[in-house]
Amino acid sequence: MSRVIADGLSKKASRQYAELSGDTPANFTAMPQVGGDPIVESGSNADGEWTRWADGTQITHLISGTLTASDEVTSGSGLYSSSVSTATFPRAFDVIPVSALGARGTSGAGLSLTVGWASARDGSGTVNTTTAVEVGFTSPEQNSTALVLVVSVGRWK
Amino acid sequence: MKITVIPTGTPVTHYAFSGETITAFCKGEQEDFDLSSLVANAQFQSVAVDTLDTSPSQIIREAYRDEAGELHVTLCQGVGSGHWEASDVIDSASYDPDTVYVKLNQEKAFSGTPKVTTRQGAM
Repeated sequence: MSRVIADGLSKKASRQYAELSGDTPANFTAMPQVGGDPIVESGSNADGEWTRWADGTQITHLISGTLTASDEVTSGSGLYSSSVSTATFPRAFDVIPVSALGARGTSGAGLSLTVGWASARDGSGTVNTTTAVEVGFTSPEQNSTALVLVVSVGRWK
Repeated sequence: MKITVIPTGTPVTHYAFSGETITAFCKGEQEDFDLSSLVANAQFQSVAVDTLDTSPSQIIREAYRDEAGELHVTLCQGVGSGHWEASDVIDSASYDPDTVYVKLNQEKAFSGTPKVTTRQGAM
């Protein structure tokens, strides 16, 4: 009779999963798969860093090139906006991801009021939320510069 | 024409060159991009894509013409797991669509098996 080890699963049934018990720590020589996909993959390329899991979750983070807040949003507002820049996800999403934005000032005063923004376009006027976003920032000081940081969470399958 | 190849997530599979026209190949389709009108000191914005099913930034990322009149272009090569970095500068005459130009940084930890794509597919 098979020994019951937990929650009514027999030793035989549990073998479909990796054996993690015993005295020797598990040390896989290749990434185990679930449903044909690696449990987790990660990497980086020219557009940023990414991690994706077999359950379809993907996280990316990217940093834009240096942007300059040169154009006053509205006359007399004292708030200046950068031009639009396209930022490409390091790996494409399957559906629209949720993104959190930030901006890191690189020159100019008053950058504590800087905000990042992004729209669901790819810079060519085409809605393309799965591969790229448009990013920019605003600042109370004209010609201040900043990098926009974008962290996105979504589905890759 | 001088070329730098950067690693990206969903680029075209490979390129061909004829003068200052670059032909990009993606998912069985191809499209020509003539860069001969790019003058020195001009600011490259983006290519306009009519046929290929990928974003402009995954085809030609950057281009400029130097004071000597030579064109410099940044192209893309598909990568997966691993930490990948840009290639050295090469001449378009020596470009081989079956060659891996981007470089794998093996000093940083990552999960999975390193993957890179050429005309022959992912390897």
